[in-house]
Amino acid sequence: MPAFRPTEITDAELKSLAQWLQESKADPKETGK
Amino acid sequence: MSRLSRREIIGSGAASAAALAATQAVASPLDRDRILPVHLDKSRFAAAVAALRSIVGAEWVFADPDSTLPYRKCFTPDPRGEHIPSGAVAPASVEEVQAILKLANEYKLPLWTVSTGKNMGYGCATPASTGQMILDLKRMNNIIEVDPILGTALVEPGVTYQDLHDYLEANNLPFWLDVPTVGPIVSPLGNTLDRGVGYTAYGDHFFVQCGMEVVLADGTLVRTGMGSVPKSTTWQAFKWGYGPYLDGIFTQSNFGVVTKLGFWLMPKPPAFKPFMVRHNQMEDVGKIVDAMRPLRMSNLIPNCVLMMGAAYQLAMFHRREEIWTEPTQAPDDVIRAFANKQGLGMWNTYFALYGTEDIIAAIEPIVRQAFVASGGEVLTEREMGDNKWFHHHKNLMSGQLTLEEKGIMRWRGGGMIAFAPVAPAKGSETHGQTALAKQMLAKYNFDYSVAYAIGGRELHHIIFLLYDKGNPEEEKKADTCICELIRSFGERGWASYRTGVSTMDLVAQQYGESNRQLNARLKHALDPNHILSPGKSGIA
Repeated sequence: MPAFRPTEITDAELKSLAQWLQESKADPKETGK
Repeated sequence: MSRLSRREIIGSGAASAAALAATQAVASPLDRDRILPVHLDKSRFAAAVAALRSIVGAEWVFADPDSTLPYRKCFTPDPRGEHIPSGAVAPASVEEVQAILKLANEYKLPLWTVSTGKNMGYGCATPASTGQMILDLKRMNNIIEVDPILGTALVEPGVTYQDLHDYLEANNLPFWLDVPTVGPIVSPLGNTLDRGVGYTAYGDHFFVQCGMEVVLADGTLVRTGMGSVPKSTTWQAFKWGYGPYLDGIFTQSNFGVVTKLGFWLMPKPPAFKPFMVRHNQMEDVGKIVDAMRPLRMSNLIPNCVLMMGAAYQLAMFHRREEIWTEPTQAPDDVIRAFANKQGLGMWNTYFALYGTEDIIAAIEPIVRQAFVASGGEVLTEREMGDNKWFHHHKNLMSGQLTLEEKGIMRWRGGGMIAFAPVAPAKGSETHGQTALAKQMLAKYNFDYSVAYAIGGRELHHIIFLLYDKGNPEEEKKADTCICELIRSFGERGWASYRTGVSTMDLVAQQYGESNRQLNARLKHALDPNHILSPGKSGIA
């Protein structure tokens, strides 16, 4: 996953994050678009 | 799953990551056509890469095109490919930094130093010239000490404001951080070295910095201020030390690699009250500055005040096409109409009072009177409620962390470059800066998306040129426009306090030949092979 630097996030961490994003419900308090 | 936090889930992936990294095949640095450091041919570069791998481990040297790619990512325009790194190396300790510098001297390998590499409006991690290798200090991420009595911190380059915030929370320490706009992912060390600003009374980050550790190009380890005294207990308590004050020459410079930075933390106040003052005409800029100046000079308003233009504010949470679909600069009346619907004016000035309830109650009538006289509406949480812009700035002024302002990059397609001329805190001159910036931006069809950060006697007029990074023609136009802005302001005596990698030499020219020569002499004395970040602030 070349878009991220290994010093800030590893592939395994990124995979976990992707899974969390996929499975989490949207935060109704989130204001960004 | 949704009960777990993002940070917890990332942490769970970290353990398996170490094992994975150890087994990954390391690509050859020469497997494709590639960018090379200016004085190295392929074989010499390959030898340097092999030597770097022997210092930090193979997995922490990035020398093939794919692994170098994340270091090329930036929001600033680079239409001619002048800011492409040749690779990156990520040490984990001061000793590894010293070994890398020894090797860089041997190979004449130029190293562009970054802490977290999130210098958003100024080039992120990209170097001032193509071919430099990034010296990525993100792995050096220890919070070395937080003194709970003196309220001081000593951190390494890779520590983020989020890391420090979490540390204060975990240890129940009664201090507020002063964060830059994208605090969660930014390094206090990196932001302070670039003389960045925040939004509390500790908003001038270099002003509250106290003591550093620096690796010089020849590997010498220096501690500034009281840190050089054996058994010293005052390194983070007293800034000036003895003899010439050295810390300044290591900010916005390339005279050494700063590996530790000390700074002061703001005691959490018993009471805090945020305000917004709403003005509805672009021309009101002068009145606001003249009303604010005496309040800042007397410290009745103690924090670094933000005067936010409507177009910038809207870009945080909205897309341009919701407001204006023409390619030309969005007109003031269109921006105003949309802003008014959101509870915003053309200028939205955010400040806060800190102290006890009694202190705030005593000062509030004075500041109210000044701003009402300027034609502004003085608003608090009572009137603004959960308005998301008010809430955002309330967070910033109380040291809370947010990434909401990254939304501005979506305004026009992912491109952004900041131009940050300094203005005196005089209404007539800020009025002149606003008029000139609007005129120049309109010539290139860019919107006037700005914030004024108000110090005591000056303002940083931070002009965000938002453009479509995916459109090569627009990228060229943004590059041309930013240079023309710098030159046009320079002709009026208005120069930047900080600038992006593509314009460092241009801004250095504006500070004059004597200044440049002095910096060049210092550079040559401290780094005779010019291996450290050549081109930083126009210093070769």
